[in-house]
Amino acid sequence: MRNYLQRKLLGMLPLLLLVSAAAFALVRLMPGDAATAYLNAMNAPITEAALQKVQKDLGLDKPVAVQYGIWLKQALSLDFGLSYMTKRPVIDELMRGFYYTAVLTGSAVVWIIVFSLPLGILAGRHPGSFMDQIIRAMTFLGSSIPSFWLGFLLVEFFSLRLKLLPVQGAGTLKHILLPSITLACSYLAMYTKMLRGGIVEHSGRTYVLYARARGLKKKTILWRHILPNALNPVLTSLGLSLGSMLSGAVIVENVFAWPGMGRVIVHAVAGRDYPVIQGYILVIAAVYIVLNLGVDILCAMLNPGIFTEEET
Amino acid sequence: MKKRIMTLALLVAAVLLISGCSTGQTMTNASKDRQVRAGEEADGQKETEEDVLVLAYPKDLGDMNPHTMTSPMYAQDWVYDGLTALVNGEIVPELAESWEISGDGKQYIFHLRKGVKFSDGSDLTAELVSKNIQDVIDNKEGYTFLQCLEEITSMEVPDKDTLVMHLAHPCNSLLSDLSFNRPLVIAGEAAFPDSGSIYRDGVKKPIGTGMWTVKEVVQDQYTLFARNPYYWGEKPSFSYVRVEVIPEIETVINALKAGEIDMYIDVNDGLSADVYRELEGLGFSVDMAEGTQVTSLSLNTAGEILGDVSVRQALSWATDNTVISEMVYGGLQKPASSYFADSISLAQTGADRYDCQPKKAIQLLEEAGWKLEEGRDYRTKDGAELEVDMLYDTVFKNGKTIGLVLQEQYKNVGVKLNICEEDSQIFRKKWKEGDFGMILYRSWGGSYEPFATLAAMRTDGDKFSTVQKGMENKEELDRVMSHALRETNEEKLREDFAYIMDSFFEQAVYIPLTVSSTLAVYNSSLEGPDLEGGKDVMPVGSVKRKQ
Repeated sequence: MRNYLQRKLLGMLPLLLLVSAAAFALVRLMPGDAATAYLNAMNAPITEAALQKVQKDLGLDKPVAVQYGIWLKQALSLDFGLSYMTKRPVIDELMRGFYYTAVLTGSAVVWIIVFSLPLGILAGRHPGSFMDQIIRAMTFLGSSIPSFWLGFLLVEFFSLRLKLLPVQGAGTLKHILLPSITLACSYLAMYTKMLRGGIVEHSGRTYVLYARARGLKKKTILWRHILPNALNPVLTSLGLSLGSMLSGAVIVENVFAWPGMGRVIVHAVAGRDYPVIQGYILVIAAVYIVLNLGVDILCAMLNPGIFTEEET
Repeated sequence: MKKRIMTLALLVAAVLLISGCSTGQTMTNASKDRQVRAGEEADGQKETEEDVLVLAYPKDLGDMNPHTMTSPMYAQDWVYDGLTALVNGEIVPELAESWEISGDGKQYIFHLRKGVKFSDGSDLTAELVSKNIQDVIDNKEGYTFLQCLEEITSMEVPDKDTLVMHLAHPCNSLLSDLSFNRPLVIAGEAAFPDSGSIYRDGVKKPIGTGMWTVKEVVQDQYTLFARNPYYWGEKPSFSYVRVEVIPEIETVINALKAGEIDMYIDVNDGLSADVYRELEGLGFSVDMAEGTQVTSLSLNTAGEILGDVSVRQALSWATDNTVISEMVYGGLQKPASSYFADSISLAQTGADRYDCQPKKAIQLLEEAGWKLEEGRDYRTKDGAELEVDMLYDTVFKNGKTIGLVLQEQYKNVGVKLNICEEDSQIFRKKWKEGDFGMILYRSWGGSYEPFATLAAMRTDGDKFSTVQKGMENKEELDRVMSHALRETNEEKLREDFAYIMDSFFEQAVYIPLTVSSTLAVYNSSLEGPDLEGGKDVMPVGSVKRKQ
């Protein structure tokens, strides 16, 4: 286990370095440059002299490799510099939004676990049954509804008609229900489908036949043998989804005026705020990698054979 | 195994729920903070929840720098005052109670309103007014549209209530420039950083003499404004205004329906006529006032195709802006007749106007050599198709719909219109560099018209000047516009404007589309805002609860 973790953690470093270089390069490939955006934000005329002054002030006059070196050195101590637009530390800008996005994503994961696990098992245990048909229809519906539309539908029903939940904002626990359900919906459908498929597939495997022949109870076969195998791809995929949920929550955040990372990055991109965009990509990448590591560990806990397989 | 899976699932759920709950806890506290309830004080009086007016605005408060454009205009207007103000198209006294202008127009003596205090209780002095204006003058490269910054040579403070400005030349725009809600507004001493420049180093505290003060800011969520206890003018009825940050108009409408906000003033034309009327039908109060911003197309006079004045005139004849007024804005925005709104009297010179006559457009294009071949939709000349790019900023609501209407109108005369949406940075860059066919844009309006616009148009390198670059009389036009900024004789000034407006018409530089409206929808328990002040400033001072 320790070797496994060490290997995974060491593997993260070159990956993060690569991401940081890619983020730095990609940001500079965007059309429109930061110096012009900066002058636009200040409503200053864009003259050659003004551009040169701003480029010097922002350190953009140095070779790109030098800029990257300086930025990377600072980034190692979590200092991503100051936002060009707000003049506040990038880390503060990101963490303010990240906190809310993490709460939103975390709550969505709760919905995914609470609903996709029983629904997937229910459908997978009796494939072709009436219940299976209903659940499958629901998953198709859930994965085809655009999230912003679902958000407005939920608001119409729960906020405007029943007057149970607030339309927008981030004030209380009540505020988080509709955004998190909206964010979770398509993922929930996907994981229910995936889990159902896994259970159906593994139910037909020979090891299940042998288990039956050994006289094991149906429930024991399901919980001890089928589910751990069926859950592995679900958990791995959930790890990947978490990253995209964090970065893709922007639509849901907009619909519910949720003050998350989405708003921070949209403003940063519009204003060509290089330090914020770079910091954002790096933070999301780091979270992505850590989450995947967490999922790998979770899978290994469910199926300890993974350690031995990887170590041999 | 069952146990292990269940334990894991419960563990994850529990951790996340706990994080949610703890968040909920802190957020609940924040929520309590945002509710200004009984016990809070404004003007030294206990207030109740009824005293909070809740509005929505799509963006955050920004840095509240009074000398830059980095905060929403409404917030700067609420917190800071200038020496003058624009009310119903007239320049009226604000912090200056009166002024005298010397015979040669080169000296202005401002007498400050007596007894005015900043929101921190400090006194307004002429010294401080001078310090604020000097900060903007020192950074005037940011404001090419403010002619007065070029002209002010020095300021004197004979006593604490008098400010004397000396100008190099007479300046027609001085009083209107001073009425803008930025950058020539006055902040208190406590607002200045140690360096002495708010423009460069930011505002220390947003202290002004305006009707409201910033009480609390929760970034990306809301700003709470409290009534300025020292406000010199008529005090507003509400003690507090909370402005929620809500980017999506649909969410704003839902929040209004749910009673989470009291009022919405449509700052960026996001409110469609259908929704406006639906809300009226639902019992909400609605108000509308004609604005001063004009949406128009600016044609690239130096462009490859539109460099030909015949093509520009043809497009002007082919445009039917009544269709845009009806189809895009449901009649809420009137068709415009010139680049400047009708309320700008100087610009009403009687210059000719293009009304919709597609036959004339076809004739002009034929004469210019653009022929429509059999079986083709669009005209060609020397093998090249007659196509024009219409560029607009992604933040411009209805840009695409307007483009689609125009696309159809221009197709009828054989011109292909490409609708090009760009993000703000690229839009401005292309505009400035002349990389466009036509620009869809809404004019500044308010006290920026007409002088600030003229100042920008005659400044080489400014994007407003780029549009006119290919005009055959551009040099003379720049001279006349500069002259108009300094001419004090009204008759001569009108002659200048006649020349400017005639040039715009003859060379078909602008195609006016619609005049903006200021729309407000609000809870029927309120008495409405005075919308004449314009939507950008969200004038809520007169709003009160019905008895």
